[in-house]
Amino acid sequence: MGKIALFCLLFLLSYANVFDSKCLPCHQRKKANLKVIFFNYLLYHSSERRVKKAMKAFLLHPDPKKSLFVKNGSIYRHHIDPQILDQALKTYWERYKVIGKIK
Amino acid sequence: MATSSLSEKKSLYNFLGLYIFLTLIILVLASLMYYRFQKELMLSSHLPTLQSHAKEVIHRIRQMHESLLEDNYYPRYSNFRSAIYDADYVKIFSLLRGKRIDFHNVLYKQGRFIYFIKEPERYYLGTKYLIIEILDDEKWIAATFKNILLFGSLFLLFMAFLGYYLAKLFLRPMKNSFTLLNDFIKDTTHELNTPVSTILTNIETIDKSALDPKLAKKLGRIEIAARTISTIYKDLTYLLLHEQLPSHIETIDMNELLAQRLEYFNTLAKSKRLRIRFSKAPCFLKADRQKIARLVDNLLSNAIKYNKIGGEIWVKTFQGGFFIEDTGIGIPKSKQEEIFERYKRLQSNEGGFGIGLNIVYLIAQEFALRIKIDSKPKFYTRITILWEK
Ligand code: HEC
Repeated sequence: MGKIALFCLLFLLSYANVFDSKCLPCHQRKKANLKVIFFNYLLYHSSERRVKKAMKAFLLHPDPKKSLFVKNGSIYRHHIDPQILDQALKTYWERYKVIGKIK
Repeated sequence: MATSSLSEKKSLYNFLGLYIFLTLIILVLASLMYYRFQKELMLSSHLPTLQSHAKEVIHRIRQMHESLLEDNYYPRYSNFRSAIYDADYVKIFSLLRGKRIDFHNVLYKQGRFIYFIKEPERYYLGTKYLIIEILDDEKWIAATFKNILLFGSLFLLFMAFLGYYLAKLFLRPMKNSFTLLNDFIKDTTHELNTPVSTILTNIETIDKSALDPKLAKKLGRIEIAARTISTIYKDLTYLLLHEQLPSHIETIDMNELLAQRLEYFNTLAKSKRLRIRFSKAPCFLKADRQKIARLVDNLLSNAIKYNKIGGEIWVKTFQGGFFIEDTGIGIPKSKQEEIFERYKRLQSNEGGFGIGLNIVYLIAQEFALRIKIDSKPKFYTRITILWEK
């Protein structure tokens, strides 16, 4: 019983922070700076809604023409569960968003 | 004359009213357009400065963006304020004093502030809209109002002159036709009087007792017709000229005058087989004899005209007034008011009735006489004329 509860908690924690557990490590490894990517999306899509929409569209259906970050010559085809993607993008936005950080 | 100058005045007022109304509408519209134009002019005069302000801010936020917001100090300037908004109109950062922003406008004024909205070609920091706000010194408003006042009053002055000229132009044909008609009627009526008087004096000199009764009857009809023309002539002259006619005030013995006028209408009364009763008491009135004769004539003429065959006319004098009562169709209570209305309306020309009562009213007014109507339909009408003793 206790094991299941712990497992659930861990699962929930990892689920809540899917960005830190999933996206960040690989990106650090591959030297694809998520902050740079974020600012590029901001530069072309402006608002939170539009940035998230564009990222989601790209991550689910990669299209070289719509890529805003090309480092290794070719785009990276992510395989992310669409259900956890929204959560990841939410954390992603909160982490790097500009609103509230300008002095 | 009275009628013509009255309707002349009325149409003049109508014209002036319409004219002033239109002038004011034009003035208001023109002022509004001028104000708008001045506002646009003022706004566009600020455009180059606003553009350069926008350029400075964009340059700065580009640097911030490129530093990935390591450098997060938003630019501040003493001569203007700015704000940045994203594509969904969410505020990214703002230094503005005004609260609301109209994103549909590029350059506009709200409150005391002028706003300029610039869209950078790239959304640095997510900025789709950069808003520049400067304070409007509003000197142009004072200048604009000064000009509106100046040119507005010049325009009004011009329109006043034009209106005066137009009114004259507008009234001239009317005046002309009135004077023409007036002169014509004056001339004709004068020409008319001589033959009618000739007929009447000649009939009066004929000894009717010596005539064959049939012929006497015919002569009586001619006399009645001639007298009717004469009465109409006198009424017409009065209506046309009463303003120019000076009144010769004298003390009139009303018994003598009424007797004379009754004598005048005798033939007419006889033709309807009317009995005339005349109750006399001392009765004097200070007024113009000719005009009072007109008044009496009209009352008597109505008393005869609306009487029934074989009816009666009762004339009674007393101190400070007299009345003439007939046994005619009478005037219903509701119509009595109406008749007074008709007096006032002046233009009523419903046959002899309207004109006759109109003349009675006008003369009574001139000499401050009071008219009282007592009547019972189908039985009698008594018109009493009263004055201060
Ligand atoms: C297995 C490794 C890996 C994981 C996990 C991963 N990424 Fe990536 N991602 C990459 C690589 C590599 C690139 C860069 C490709 C290139 O260089 O063109 C990239 C590029 C991107 C881009 C830029 C796309 C573009 O416009 O070209 C975005 C956005 C992105 N990743 C978001 C995410 C998010 C969000 C997650 C987590 C849900 C995630 N990635 C997880 C490897 C990964």
